[in-house]
Amino acid sequence: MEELIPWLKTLRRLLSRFFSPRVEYSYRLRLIGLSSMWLAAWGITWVGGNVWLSLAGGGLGTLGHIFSWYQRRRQPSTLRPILLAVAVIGVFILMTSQVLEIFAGNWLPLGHFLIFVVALAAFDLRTRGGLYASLGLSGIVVFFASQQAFDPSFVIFIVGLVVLILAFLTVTFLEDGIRDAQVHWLHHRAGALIYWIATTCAVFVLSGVAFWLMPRGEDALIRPTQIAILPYNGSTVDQPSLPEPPPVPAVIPPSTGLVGEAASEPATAMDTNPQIPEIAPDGVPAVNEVMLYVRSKVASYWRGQTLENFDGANWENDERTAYRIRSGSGPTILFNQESFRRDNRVRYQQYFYAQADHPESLFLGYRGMRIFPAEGSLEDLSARKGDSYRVVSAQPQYTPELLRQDKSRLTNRRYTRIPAGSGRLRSLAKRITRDATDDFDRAERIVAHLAQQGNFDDYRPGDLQSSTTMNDFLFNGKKGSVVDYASATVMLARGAGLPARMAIGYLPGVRDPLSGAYLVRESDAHAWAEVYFEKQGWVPFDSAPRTDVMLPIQSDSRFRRLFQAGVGERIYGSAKTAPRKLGAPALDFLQNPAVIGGISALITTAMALRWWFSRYSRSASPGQGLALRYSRLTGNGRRELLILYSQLEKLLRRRTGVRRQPWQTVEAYTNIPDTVEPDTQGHLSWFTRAAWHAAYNPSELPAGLIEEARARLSRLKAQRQW
Amino acid sequence: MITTKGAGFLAVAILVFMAGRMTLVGWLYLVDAVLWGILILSAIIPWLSIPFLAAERRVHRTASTADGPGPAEGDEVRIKITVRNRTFVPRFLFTLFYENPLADPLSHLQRFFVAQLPGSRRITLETTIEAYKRGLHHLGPVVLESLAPFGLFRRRIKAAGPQPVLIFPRVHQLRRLALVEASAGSTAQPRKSITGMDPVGSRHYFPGDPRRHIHWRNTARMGRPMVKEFEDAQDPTLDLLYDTTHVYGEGKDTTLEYAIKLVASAADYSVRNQGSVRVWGGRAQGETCGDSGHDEMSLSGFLEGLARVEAGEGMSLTQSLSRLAVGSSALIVVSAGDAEAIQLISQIGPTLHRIAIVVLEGFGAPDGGGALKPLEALGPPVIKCGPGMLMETLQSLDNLGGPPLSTVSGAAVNVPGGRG
Repeated sequence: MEELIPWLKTLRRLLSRFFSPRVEYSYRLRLIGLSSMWLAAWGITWVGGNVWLSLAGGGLGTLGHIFSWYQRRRQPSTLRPILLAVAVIGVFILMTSQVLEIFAGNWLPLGHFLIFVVALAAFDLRTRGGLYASLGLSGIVVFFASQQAFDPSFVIFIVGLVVLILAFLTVTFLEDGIRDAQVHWLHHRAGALIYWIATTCAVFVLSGVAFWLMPRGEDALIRPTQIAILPYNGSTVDQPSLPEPPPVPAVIPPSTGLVGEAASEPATAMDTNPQIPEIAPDGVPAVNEVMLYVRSKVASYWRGQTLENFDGANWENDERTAYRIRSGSGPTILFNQESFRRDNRVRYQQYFYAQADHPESLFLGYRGMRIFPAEGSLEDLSARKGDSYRVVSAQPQYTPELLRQDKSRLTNRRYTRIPAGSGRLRSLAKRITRDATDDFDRAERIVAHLAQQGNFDDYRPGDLQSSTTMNDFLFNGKKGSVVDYASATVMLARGAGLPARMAIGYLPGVRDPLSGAYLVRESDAHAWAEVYFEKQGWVPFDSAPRTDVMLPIQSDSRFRRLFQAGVGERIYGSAKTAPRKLGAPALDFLQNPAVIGGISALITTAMALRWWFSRYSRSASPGQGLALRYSRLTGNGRRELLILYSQLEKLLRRRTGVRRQPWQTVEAYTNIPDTVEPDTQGHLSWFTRAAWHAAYNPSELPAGLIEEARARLSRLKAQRQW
Repeated sequence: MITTKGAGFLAVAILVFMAGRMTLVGWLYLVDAVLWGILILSAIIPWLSIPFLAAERRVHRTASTADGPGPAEGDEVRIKITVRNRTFVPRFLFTLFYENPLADPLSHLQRFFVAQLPGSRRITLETTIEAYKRGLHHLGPVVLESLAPFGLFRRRIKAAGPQPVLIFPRVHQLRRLALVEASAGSTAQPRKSITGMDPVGSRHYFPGDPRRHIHWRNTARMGRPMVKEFEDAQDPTLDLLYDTTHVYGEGKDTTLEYAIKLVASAADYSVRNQGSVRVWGGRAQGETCGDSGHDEMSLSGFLEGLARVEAGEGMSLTQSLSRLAVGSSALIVVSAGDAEAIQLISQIGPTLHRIAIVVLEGFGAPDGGGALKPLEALGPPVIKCGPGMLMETLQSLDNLGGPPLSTVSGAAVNVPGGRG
């Protein structure tokens, strides 16, 4: 304990140094702090937060800043911090249920709470340390908002925050620099302007370099290991008779199994740089809407639904196979019972943000364990538009070696059922798996066979409709969609005696370097097969040779991947719509009659108070309407006298060649004893006093002052020698 | 060199990156990249801002105060620093500072903020200050510092070395000083003196008395050493005594500073009136200044010596007093806390021709209790001087010269001769 004491003292000294008791008198810094708070409040509203809470927080913070500004010269109050602490606790109690939504991945309520904390703290904001803390908390709120900001338009808030940080740093630097110093300002404003423009440009250029170099997952020079959980695609089959598998972007090395790490060399599947056609040949518009945003460290096939029953043409979900159960302890936690009794030691989280309705589908990464829905979402166990939820999954630890030792066996017959009259299919399955040594090898051979022999319908990569019948696809070479591939895989697996089912969901999608989330579009819709193994559970197999897939571990070029992610296109699109999007919450808000009425009432009240205050001030101090401190004095020839003084300054400038510097007082400028005749110096001294009187002394100007000023100026102009 | 703010900023940049890695929020990487951009630029710019800048410093006394040796305490001193940009690249937002001990202690650090210095140009940074305190001061090295543009990193270079500046003590012109007039008068109209030949009496022996002046007969009678007193033993030179070893007070309100001002003013008066002074204090032990016809220094040199005096150096006042010749006229400035010196003054006072004593009290010296009583009993004028009462004290010294000297209450006292 005694050893800790020096550390604690050091910590206390550092904290006290940071929260210096020196009062901050810079209104500029306060304005920046206030702006950052409003930016944070608006940002959190922009991503879907409650506009009322943001406005209330921002308004409260504004009042707090005004209050603390007028109180800054007074002694610190001991009662005020206590009251503010009580208020913060009160707000927390009121918002407890909302704040606790962070456990479901919804950070916005916590952001609102922090806005209120900043706003309340503004009432006792005195020091620069407080301003730093305010700026930092606002940044944290923007960070919370950024978790749910998937639109590139959010870059406006990021840029705004950065500009405020830069402004804060610059102003603090200048304020500290000129404090207690003699300041020699600019000689040429243009030069200074160029300096600051160059500095700003340099900041952003260096930021670009830093962004490029930063090991942030992908699209960077230094890439960390990227984890991906992808289905087996037949690449583990070591059979000379089978042709080389198509360039399906499965990159799981045989030695590592399904859970793969990024290959040191990127796969070549992306070399063809596939483009999803804008318009399909049949004139159907391309489906490219974002259906789902997923924030996850691990890329996975996002499984939304499994289908068990196949009647030869259609798949149906078997209600009896529902594997999601609700938690007994909490109504909002769901469990995936399929993941029970597995090796679930390594876990990862995913945050799903549904952008469209997905009836009867709830998306999980492999192997999903628990689901924490945000308040009001997943009420019917379906991901509806606007729903968000957090999923805890376990990384499957199976490898080909483990699977080869496992057996694919399940007592439930529905997973091995084949429609009647499928003898040809059975015999094909047996022929494919004739030389297989184990169940995993059987499944892989089936997948590899379909991947090589199947005829993929390139024009409909993400279409979850059958293109043809099973027989035509398998035996007549007809083109098949992903559903046909998945159906064929499941049926052939069942034909070979392996329990299998179809999975419907999405490919991992493209990871957006700006938001950091996977953009899952409708074109990423996919179907694949799952085969059951006794020890490892359901294992995915994908035989569809899709070439439009951009898996996260396949980046072959940092710049190229940026373009593949469509960053430029998205930014351009967002730039066009950003003003409307930014203003949309405000416009929606203002359309509320209650809001209009409230704002009108506020303005009217403020004007009335202002009128009452000015009337009260006049009545309290009659005849001293002009005597307000630091107010500009007007009337009584003051302006004329100051004009005469400015003429004197011009005269001085011409005669002496010395311009009055911004930091010079009138007295300092006109005090030129070495070069000026005593008589002239007398005139200058008189003008100094007269100008001071006209500018600052609220009493009446003496009679004849203007005339004397004119006369003295004329005499000075008439003098040839000074 | 990273600043505290820069360290905090660096910590934030690292935290943001870690948060980005944990949450995979791409916006964090974007913000973090900008933070790193700011950090990198902040580290680079200070290194480019101040190299190839040259600074030169000059110290002048302003024309309005250029009177007498100086600059003296309270004079306006103008310090000009010329900063030259030796390259064609303009420089922005740098600071220049140095320690300026000439100024008030609260504003010792002299800082200039230069927003812009065009290429191949120079600017002159000028400061006019009132010299706070006499002494040999050293202006600190001129340091150029850049924290631009955000204050996250700092670079400093020393552009000019330290520079000594001697500030003379403030001399207040006295209207009259009886001690000097008495000494000058005796010099102008010397009595018929056969010093050392015509003893008029005897007195107790004090250390410093010449052995040849010992009155052996009276010594035998009294049973203690006695020395002869002569009719015209007083020296026309005014002895000025002060102490450097018992110094109390703070800033420029110290016993030493007050003593030096008093001594300097008395010396100035004496020299202006064709007199001479002998100073005892600090390293100066009996050095004379003025028109005594001996090997004396000029007033300027004398004041320079006073300017260089530092607390604690040289002999104590007690030692100086013991060397004071019998029959001298002396102005003694003593601290109320120096009980030993006060005791000695009370003992040797009767042996002096004329004496004025200024007691500096209220400077924080330990309370001497009744230490001043022997002085008051002695009879000569004791002027008490507290902090901020220098002008009143000087005025009291002026008043000591009111005619006739012997009738002025509390004025200089003629030491009666022939005692004992």
